[in-house]
Amino acid sequence: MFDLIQYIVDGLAVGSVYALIALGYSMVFGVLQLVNFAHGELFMVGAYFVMYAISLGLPWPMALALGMTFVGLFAVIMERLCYKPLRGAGKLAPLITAVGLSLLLQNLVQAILGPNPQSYPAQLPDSSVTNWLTAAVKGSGEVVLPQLPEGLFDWGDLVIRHRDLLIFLVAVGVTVGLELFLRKSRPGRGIRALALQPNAARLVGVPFDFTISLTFFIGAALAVVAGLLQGMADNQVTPFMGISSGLKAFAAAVLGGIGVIPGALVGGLVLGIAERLLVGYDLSTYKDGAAFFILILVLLLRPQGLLGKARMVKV
Amino acid sequence: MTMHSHPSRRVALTVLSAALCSLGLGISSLASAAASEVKVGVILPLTGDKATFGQESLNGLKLALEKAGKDAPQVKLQVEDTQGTPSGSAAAVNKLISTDKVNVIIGEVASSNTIAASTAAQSAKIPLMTHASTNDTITAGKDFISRICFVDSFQGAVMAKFATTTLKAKTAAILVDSDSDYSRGLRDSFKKAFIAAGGTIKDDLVISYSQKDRDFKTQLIKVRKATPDVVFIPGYYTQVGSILRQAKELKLNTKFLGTDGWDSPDLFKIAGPAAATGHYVSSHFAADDTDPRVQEFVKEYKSRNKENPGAMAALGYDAGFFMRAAVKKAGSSDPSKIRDAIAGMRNFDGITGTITLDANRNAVKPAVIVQTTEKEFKFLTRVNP
Amino acid sequence: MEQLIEYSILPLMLFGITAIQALGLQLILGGAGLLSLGHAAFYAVGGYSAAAFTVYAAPALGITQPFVMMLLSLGVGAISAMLAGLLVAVPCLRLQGDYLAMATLGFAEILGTALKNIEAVGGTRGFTGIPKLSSLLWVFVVLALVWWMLHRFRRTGLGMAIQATRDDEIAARSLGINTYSSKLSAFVIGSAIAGLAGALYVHALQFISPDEADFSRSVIIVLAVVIGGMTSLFGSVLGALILVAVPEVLRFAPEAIREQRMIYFALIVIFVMLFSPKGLQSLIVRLLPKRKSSARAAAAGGKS
Repeated sequence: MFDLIQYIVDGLAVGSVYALIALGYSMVFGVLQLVNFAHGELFMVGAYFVMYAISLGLPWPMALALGMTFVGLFAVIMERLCYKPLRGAGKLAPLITAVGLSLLLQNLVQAILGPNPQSYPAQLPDSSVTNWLTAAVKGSGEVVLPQLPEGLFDWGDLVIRHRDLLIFLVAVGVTVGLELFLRKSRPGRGIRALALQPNAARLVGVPFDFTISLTFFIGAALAVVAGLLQGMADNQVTPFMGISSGLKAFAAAVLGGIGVIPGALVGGLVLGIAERLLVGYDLSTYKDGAAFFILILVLLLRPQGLLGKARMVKV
Repeated sequence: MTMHSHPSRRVALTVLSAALCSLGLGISSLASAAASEVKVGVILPLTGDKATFGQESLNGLKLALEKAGKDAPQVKLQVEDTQGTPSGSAAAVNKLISTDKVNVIIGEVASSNTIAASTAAQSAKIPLMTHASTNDTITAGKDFISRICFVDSFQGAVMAKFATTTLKAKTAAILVDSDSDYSRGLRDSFKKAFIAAGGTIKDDLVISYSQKDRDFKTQLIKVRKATPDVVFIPGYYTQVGSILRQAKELKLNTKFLGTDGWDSPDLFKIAGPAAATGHYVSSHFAADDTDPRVQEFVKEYKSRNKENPGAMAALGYDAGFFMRAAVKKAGSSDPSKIRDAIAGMRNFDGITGTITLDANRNAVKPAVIVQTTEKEFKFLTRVNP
Repeated sequence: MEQLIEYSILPLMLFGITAIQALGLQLILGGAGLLSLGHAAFYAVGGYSAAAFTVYAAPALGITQPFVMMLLSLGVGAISAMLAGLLVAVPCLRLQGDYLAMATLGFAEILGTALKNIEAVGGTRGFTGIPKLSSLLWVFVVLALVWWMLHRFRRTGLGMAIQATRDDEIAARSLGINTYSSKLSAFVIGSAIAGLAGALYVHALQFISPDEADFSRSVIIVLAVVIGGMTSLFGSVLGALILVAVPEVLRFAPEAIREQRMIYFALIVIFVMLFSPKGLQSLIVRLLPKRKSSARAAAAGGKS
């Protein structure tokens, strides 16, 4: 019995990271009906960016803020250059472009930073640019590596790491904050309007391109938060972390109800718990299939997801 | 509706361009096949989650070939990256045999990768000599496959004996990498020897993980509840580093025992100094061994590569000298003659010990046990077979 | 010359196998307009079944003749991949666009996970000990047959129904075309062709692991089809040739350039989608001098 509770608790932490990535998929799909395949790579690029910024000597909040801005703007530019020209060109073209972008980012990072896993403090490639950067940032002295809280709630049969709790709280906080932003703020309501009725939204004066850019920016920035948490928790980032976590996060978004913000959180958590249960009962070799099994069940039986309201799926 | 040209024209175009490509290929291969030298194919995990093993092996191998002098037979290396995966290894070995026409092959490191490569080498009758794959089954029934390292039935028994006699352990848990033949073989040999020495290992404390896993909390909590005397992890450093780190977070204070898959500087980077300290590992070589030949190697390796050599570097170095000796003995670039020379090698004096191949082409040689500190392995003892 | 061919056997075989896979996906992606992101899974299923046949079934049945073994294993590969394709297509083809792409991806991952858990074929560590039966001749004969068959297929009633469904599903339905079954046949035939490629592959490399069902392998086939031009059979073969030949041609280039081929391929795909949706074959065909016969074929219409 305690085993079961333990696995569920463990699953919440694993699922929280999926949830943070799923939010971005969900928002973009809600607005454009596009699976932004490159979203998982934004998570990966974010994890690298923040790790290098911290290893250069920046305090972590500044590294995170810089990473969110940089990757967010990158996502905006990516949308403008690669997705915008294909609006109205059917479903196939943007989807294939997205797969191409994902491949491009994964291999660019691999080419520049190497294919092998990196851990804190990251070794910067030796070049005049990085040397200059190191000198510029390190002026203040020592590099302080960030640490997730190390403590433990230990109740004998049930053990919870403080860091798991922290990651869970961040995911819940971000989801609530995002939902409030979408409901209360003017740009947030613009995003919702666009998702609901694109043409009507345009007619009542929602700035179309700006709102789409904003959606991409927010989704990417949240993926960077997930990247920082995952990188610190594992003390490891690789060029391939985006593809595996990204695909599972997409499954989580569909499970919760794509386009529904709290759905991404619920989907992520359910998926995390399912995976940990399989590991707990020594079926870990089936773990990677679980996300996709759930994805297909949901797609076939309840395409609107757990929290979504039934409506005609736009085809 | 798209316009399209006549199919036959396009077929002709494809055939023509394929022929042109093959022509380019052929010329490049012919140009590199000089007269009397022996082409040695090398398959190593130069990228991926076992990359330090591949890099160290290659550094050691190159150092050995440079040192061997001009009068030794000329050996040309053709290196292929396997990305540390079985499918990458199978593709690499096929390329070496079919396109590069190598006479003999050295590699891989991970047992599953060597097994994947061995079918093609055996059926093409090209000898494959692994310097580091320890799984028992690799050479079984394949007379062109050999190795210059010890086997896992020996390595597992060494650690079981160390656990029961030196550490006085009565109970143990095993964490198994279910994706690896190496890990599964060591699980069995350790378990057998540990139980034979009077210890107990409960079935539910033989717990598996996958090479893709990043979070090992669920497995470690099972271990934590059972509080065994020792935990044996026959795995590779990328996953083991994370396991040690997370064990520390969970305040799991059991002693960990490892095998040669731990022997990488990255173990300390991933685990962090506190979590890496104080574990016992079986390996092929220790950089702080006082043997003067070992120290000479360490000095030379360090001056070239800016870091201490690990076991893979030492095995790569031995493989280089061993291969030269075998080629010289064969006196020919004929693969079958090289195979016979390798299989017949007795008392080859390497820095990882004296290497004699037995009837099954496995090396019989000592293992060392090292202990981890915050950032490196310290020599503890040597165990003879 | 003999020696030249001998040195090039492996790359040419890999080109042929990739081209067969690409032709199979071309029917699904270019022919029926369905994005399958799990094509490699059918290839893996075909490869595994074919290998299991030669390693386990053939000796039990007393079949030892290499030619017969290879021929039968091709059949086993194609049929098992076809069944896997059917298993995926029946539920998934109700979905459209992005959802269909994700469902095929999901099924591929599930098939891969299933392969990892079958110990008789080596689990995650892969299937070893497969005899070498495949050869350059086998690969090119199968490639030619598949190409010829698909070329003929487009002129059949079913072939035209598939294209009509792609171009305008509602209009096709109004003409009495069963759009579901035409999509289903495209998907299933495409999967069977992937299975043929799988059977050729395992008997060439003598090894297969669940990695072959990976998403990244499926992406490679999508690359071949899209780069070459997804509306034509020739484009798929050209795409496969580019994927296999570029790394070989770059052998002489500095390592820094040679190792980055996936970056070029990704850039080409994005470029093709944005500026030249018919792919590189359209550029090549345009550069070639027109002949009368080809002009006549073009006038006769018919979409490649």
